[in-house]
Amino acid sequence: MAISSTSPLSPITSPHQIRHAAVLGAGIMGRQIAARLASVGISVLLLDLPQPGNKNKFAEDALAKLPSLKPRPFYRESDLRRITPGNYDDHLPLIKQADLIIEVIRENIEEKLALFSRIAPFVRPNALIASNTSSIPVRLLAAGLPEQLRAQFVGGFHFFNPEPLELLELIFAPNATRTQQDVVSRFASDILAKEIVIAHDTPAFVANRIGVFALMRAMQEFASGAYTIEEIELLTGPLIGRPASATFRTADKVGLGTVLHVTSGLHQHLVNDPYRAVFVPPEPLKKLVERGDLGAEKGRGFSTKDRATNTICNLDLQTLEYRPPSGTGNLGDLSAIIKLPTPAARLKALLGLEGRAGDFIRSYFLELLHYCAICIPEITDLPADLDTALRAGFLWDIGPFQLWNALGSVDIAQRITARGLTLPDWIREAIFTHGMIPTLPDLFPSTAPAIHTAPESALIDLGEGVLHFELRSKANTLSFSVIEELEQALDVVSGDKWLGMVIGNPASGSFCGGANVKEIGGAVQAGQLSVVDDLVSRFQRLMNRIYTFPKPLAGAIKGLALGGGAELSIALPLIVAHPNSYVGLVELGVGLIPAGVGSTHFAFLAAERAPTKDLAGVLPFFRQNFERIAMGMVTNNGYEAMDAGFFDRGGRIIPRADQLVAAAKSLVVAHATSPYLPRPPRGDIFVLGAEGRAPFEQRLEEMKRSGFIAPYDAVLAQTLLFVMTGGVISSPQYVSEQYMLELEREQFVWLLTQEGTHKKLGRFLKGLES
Amino acid sequence: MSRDVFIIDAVRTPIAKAGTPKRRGTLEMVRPDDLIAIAIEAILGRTPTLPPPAIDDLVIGCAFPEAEQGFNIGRIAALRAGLPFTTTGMTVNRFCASGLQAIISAHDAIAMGRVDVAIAGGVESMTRLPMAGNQPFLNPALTGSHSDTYLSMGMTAENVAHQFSVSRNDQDAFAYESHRRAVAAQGAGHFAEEIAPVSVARVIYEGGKAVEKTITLTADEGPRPDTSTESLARLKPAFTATGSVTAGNASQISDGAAAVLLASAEAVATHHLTPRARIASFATTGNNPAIMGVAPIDAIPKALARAGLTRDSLDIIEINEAFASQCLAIIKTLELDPAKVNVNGGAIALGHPLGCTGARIFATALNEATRRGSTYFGVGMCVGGGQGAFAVAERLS
Repeated sequence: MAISSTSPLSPITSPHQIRHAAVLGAGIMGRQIAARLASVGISVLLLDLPQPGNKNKFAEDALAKLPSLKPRPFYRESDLRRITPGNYDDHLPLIKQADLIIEVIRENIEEKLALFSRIAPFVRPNALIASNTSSIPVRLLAAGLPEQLRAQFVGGFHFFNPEPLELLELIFAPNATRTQQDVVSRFASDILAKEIVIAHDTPAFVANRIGVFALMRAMQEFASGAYTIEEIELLTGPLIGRPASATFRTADKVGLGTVLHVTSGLHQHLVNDPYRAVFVPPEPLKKLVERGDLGAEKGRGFSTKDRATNTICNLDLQTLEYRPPSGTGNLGDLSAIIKLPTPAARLKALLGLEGRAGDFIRSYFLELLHYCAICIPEITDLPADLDTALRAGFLWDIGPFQLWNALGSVDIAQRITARGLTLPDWIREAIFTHGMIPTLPDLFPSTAPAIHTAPESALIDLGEGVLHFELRSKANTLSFSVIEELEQALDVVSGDKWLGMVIGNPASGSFCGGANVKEIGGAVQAGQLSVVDDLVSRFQRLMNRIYTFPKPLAGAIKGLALGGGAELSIALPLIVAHPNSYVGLVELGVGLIPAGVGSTHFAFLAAERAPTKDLAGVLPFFRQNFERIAMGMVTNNGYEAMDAGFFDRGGRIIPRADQLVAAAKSLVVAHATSPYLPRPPRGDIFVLGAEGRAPFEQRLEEMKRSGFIAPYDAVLAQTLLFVMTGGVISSPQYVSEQYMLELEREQFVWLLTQEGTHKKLGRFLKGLES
Repeated sequence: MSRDVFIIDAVRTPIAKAGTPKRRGTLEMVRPDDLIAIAIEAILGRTPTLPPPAIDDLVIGCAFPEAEQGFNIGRIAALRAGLPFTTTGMTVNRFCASGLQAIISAHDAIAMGRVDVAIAGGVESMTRLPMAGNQPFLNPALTGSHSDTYLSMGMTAENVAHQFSVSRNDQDAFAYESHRRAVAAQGAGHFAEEIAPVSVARVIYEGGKAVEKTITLTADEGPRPDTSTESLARLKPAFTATGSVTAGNASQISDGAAAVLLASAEAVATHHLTPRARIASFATTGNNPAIMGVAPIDAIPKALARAGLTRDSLDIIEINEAFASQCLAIIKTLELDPAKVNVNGGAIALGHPLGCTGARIFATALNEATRRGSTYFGVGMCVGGGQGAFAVAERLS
């Protein structure tokens, strides 16, 4: 390790002074935390217990396993080279270099304190110390630390598994200084790109307290025999803005042993909690754990996959055996509600619905909101932090308090009190005096009102001559309407008044879901291939208009940018992206190829990056680009997207979702106010022709024959290959961009006449509906 | 005009498992041109009466003669081994038969009186040059569904297993036997005579410093004493979703080199050399590339007929174990005695450094024949693209 950048005596007052870290414990969390630190440029010492033989083996093995983890807790594989594995016998003196020390060993207070005593002589006086824990009271750790470490102990970190979950709960030690708290908070949010929640030192902290409440409260309804697992999965899943894993599959994923442990602990410690009974582990959970059916890891939990029929079978309450799903018909017809556009709209309808589905939501959901209300300020000061904990830790689309506001804060409050429940004063005051609960006050500062609102987008004046085209369609897809609205926005920004434009909607959590496949499917079904043909060429023109636009256009990207969304990111000359950007040309999955310049661009880029314009020079670059699209690869993060060529020029990564639009705006201003050189058109493109295609055709043929890919997937890959190598061209040569765009479009439309594509499209659309 | 040609000696390096992106190879820092030079230096060391300037030509076989194996590795090897400028060198390529073809080409040049003394041999670093080379540029007229010209070797092995009804069990049993025989041969010291150990100094970065390290290898790395038919049976098919060819019953990917010294009768006399063998015959045959593995079914009888011998004249037969399926198909079709075939194990256990293999199995067969006091032995293999090659040799006592 290099010499530390900080003098050992000057206090750490800025998160950027943290250049070296020590992670103690290379278990499943420790190794991921080490990887995350390394990925932001920090040198990490990763230590664990010495092993017989090679003493570093545990940490070395942990390091070796990191590249295959999914999702990846780092940005680039080369990041991992910043991690030095070692052991407690030989390498404690190296801790002296660390600006930040995170202990990540087993959840056992004696063991944790013993380790802190052991490292105490090697801790630099200004280093910050934290303990990663999900259950140990931080005040007890603080009190038990060796005297000389106490002033350096910032408190508890609660990272979530898998680490790429954005949530990080910070539980400050009683004596942590303001400066320490500030440095650590900024380090987590501005450098690690975490959504931070300041949690109080209460059992299970914030996300697990509420998240486990929600699981257990729903589980009660199963254990009592009132509802089946499939009914509860429907009522607690995407319908109300939760992940598809809903209740029982979430429990299975977390691991039933862990769920049982956490809920038992909560029951034990929350002696005065009015909802204490909710945390009593129900019989079926105890039985499953007893018999070793611990969830997804074991393949059996509340659900299991029947290999013979390839269906998910659920636990039957009476027999505790698995049985095929019995359907959700007894809930009544929910099809009209399912079609409503937002979770709030669907919940509103459910709350007013007669019958079993409505009954479930009224008791389950209103009690959940009540519980959230009474947990403030016990578990955290801010309602916004509680929302963040559930969104970033349990992947709920929208936080409980945000939903409460969206449903009508007064109406919900009245419904809760009508159930005989008492609301705490703070929320009564918020609702009845101010009309709403203060949620996410600063996260996405509301900009000036839209100067123009279209059905699926809005055009907002960000000030200083910069416009913001905000996508507002479902999953931010590029419907016929959005395409037209974007064309019009470009017309507006062409006017003298404007310097440039920002495109995106980071607040929605995703950039753009690509073309509206439903609309395309509809046109194909109606036999209107010429409509699709026109649309594709119009979309190509739009993409290239953006690519060469005379004023700076910047994308603000976070989350998914798929298909047409990825092509939009390619077209945008300037990009500001969050590290958690997932970009990919995934068209082959629905039986199509990228035809919004995506296939052409990656053929172009291969030749651009090649040192020589010939078969030998271009082929390795072409291989990467072709395989990326053929396999529908989606980047694991923004850096990968940058490396892959999705952010072609001036891509910048910013770890704060709430700063993306502001940063994109600054970038537009900076470019516009110094003379702006628009990107030139791609011009002629060097393509490889049949000779460049040959090795890939051979490989595809073999994969098809060997049964590794389905015959139609080979057809799709061959079609993509045909386009990317310039069609019927024999040998490597230059062709015009227009020739490539026509080829792209012609093959796209040809695929739409193929039965294999109809099948894939049909399957995709069916999946959208269910 | 044809004159007598004698095999004076044959040596080889130990065969290393090739390095992969996931596993470092012992010889990954040793270039193939250095590796063949080690074998050449070893054979010169074992022939002290032969002055280096007497060596007219080097004929080196290599399956992918490009990059580190390019630039006419025959000439590079001569210079790297410290032979005088006057010793010339050439590269020959018949894929997996390259090492054997090199011996035959050198032999024929001596027989024709154009060369007096030659070193033949073969080399492949599959760590450095993967199968198919760094970057194959295939002819589009012969790719994809047009033909099987470029069909991957694993697929051809599956085709053979299918057409010749070779079961997965039989392939695994054959693979197990290959390891068993190789381990036994190592234990009995059967390879000691032919192996020239590798010991090469390299400067590497370790512990923050550049340090000189000696890379050494004294024995073949491939044979596994711990393998079992059960563990082989657990492996997944490597080349097709439902096939029978696995990483366990196919040859290993390896690095290695071998050298064979040949001389005319006159040179034998002049330099006081002791002949160990002579080539009796050689034949190549072609077949459909889709089942290239069984091409020796034609090459073996063809070579035997040219030598005026029959199958039963051969005491020792080395058939390169590219795959268990093709070896078994050949043994079954020609009714060869399994007890005579690959008695010290084959490429499934020992490894298959493509261009080296022909010369390697020649060295192994020569030594086994010497140990047993046999007269005739045969060496051959299947060749990618649909070819078979087989040589018959006579041991001289």
